[in-house]
Amino acid sequence: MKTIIYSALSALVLSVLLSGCAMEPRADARRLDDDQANQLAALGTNDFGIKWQGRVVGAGEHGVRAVTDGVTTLTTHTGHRVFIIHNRKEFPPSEGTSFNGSDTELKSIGIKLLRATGVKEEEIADVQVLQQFTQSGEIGPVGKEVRVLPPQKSHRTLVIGRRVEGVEVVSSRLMLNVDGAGRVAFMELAWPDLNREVLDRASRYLKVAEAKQVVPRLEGAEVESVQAVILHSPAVGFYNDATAAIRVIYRPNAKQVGQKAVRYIDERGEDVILPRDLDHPREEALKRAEGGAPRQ
Amino acid sequence: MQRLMACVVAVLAIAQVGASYGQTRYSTGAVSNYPANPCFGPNLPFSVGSAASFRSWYNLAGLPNVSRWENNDVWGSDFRDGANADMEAQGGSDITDVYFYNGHGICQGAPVATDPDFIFVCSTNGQPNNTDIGASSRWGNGNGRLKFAFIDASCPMDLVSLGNNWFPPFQGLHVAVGHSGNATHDTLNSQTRGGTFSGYTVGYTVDFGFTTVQLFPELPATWAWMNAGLIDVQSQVCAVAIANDATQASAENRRDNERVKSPMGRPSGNWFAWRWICS
Repeated sequence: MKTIIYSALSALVLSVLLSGCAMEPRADARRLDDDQANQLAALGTNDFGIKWQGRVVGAGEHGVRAVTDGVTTLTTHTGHRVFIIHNRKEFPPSEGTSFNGSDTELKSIGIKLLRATGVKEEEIADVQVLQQFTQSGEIGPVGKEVRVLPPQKSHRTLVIGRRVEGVEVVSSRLMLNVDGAGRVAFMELAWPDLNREVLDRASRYLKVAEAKQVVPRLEGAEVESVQAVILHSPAVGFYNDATAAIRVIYRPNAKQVGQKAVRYIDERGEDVILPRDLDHPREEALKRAEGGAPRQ
Repeated sequence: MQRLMACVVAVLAIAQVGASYGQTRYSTGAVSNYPANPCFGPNLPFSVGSAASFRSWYNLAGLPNVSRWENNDVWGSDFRDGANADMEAQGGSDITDVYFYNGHGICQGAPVATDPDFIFVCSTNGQPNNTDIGASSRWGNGNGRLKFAFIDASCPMDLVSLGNNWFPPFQGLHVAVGHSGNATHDTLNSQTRGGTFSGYTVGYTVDFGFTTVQLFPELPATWAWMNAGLIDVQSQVCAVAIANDATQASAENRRDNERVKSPMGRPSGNWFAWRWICS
């Protein structure tokens, strides 16, 4: 009996110790106080119609803040129009909870959300409702023949792109999945304000891109398109960089080779420094030995 | 006291073994260098960086890395079935739970059901550089442990030929993702697609002991790909995810709900379920 008690107690102590180690937050991570958490929750209610189910708690790290009631989580990059909303009960969605409204209604919901966050109407471009499909199939037990059932329509996703002063902001998007009632189930909104210097540079690049004079050659490919664009850090990340660039898309000479090469260059034809997402850990250089052996 | 110490050591050992056994391990393989001779070109400037972003999120999530080869060190044989191929100890794709590949694939002009899907690397080792997935890739068989195959390589998962190319590789594999497209509607080499996808597959949680807050959401692999797979692609490209299991319902459940950090049990059966979204 004593052995059992000893074992149980030691297991309890150890599990507390181990979980304490695992729960150590990173140096910059901090809990939001109640006022900060409630403020962010109120923004979620006012701008995105989130109905919080209970008391909210919040946390922040490296300029990213989130507030949650355990069901819905709203994440934002502080001071930037970058938001992620995730309702865990509604997303991933089940097939029975699809939004039955029309594409036009879905677009209206998305545009209303953009307006609520202060997006300028003239920046809204390329409003698309993307239809998801599902399909199933099996390999027959006899003869191994493949049998595929007809595809089924599934959920729809709204994607809205952005154009500013004639320049496509290729990193910006509203991606929205709604529940059966038209409320946000999952949303990624990356639509940060852009500073004047980036916009001015983008404007200059519009003319440079038209001339196509600075485009560098790429071995094994020919130029398919040249376009002035604006790039910024993604919503899933800790940074908020932005830059203008000339995007060059290359078509492989070998027709069968897939995945098109891309370069982002400035007016001198040199590669621009691209926006960051998160810090990459330092990694040692490795060299793989030839003539490997199978894993035992 | 001695008994207590013995118990402590025993529990610690069990906890350690349990933790390492249950934790998802991952590898990346990324090829940016494709000299025209002999690999046709062009280079893909962001492939290596995309894999680095992928690893950064998994590193934040505390998942152990098995291999992270780049360029000439990614071998064609890593993706083909065999003891010295996908089970090769340094970098075979079947010695890990998750494998993320970024590099060239091969696209047809107008793919048909009998066309193969390919992974195309550029290495002096493990040749040939191209791997016909349907004919040569078998994941999860024998001692293989791959559960998630993430193939970010243009046209490796053409919808029209899915039955021929992607049913056979599932020999214990749980979920695979890729793109469907053609030579004129293709993926673009991207510095953000891999990172955003990676971030969504593992999320990022701040933990204060009695309170946890998820700064970035963790989604099932399929939904992470539905959300990220259409970043930097041309029109009419589709992000595709496929899963395998014993019945239609269980394959669909696995497709829509299986997560990298908490994988379901080993699938067995002849049913496949896939989901896609097109730009």
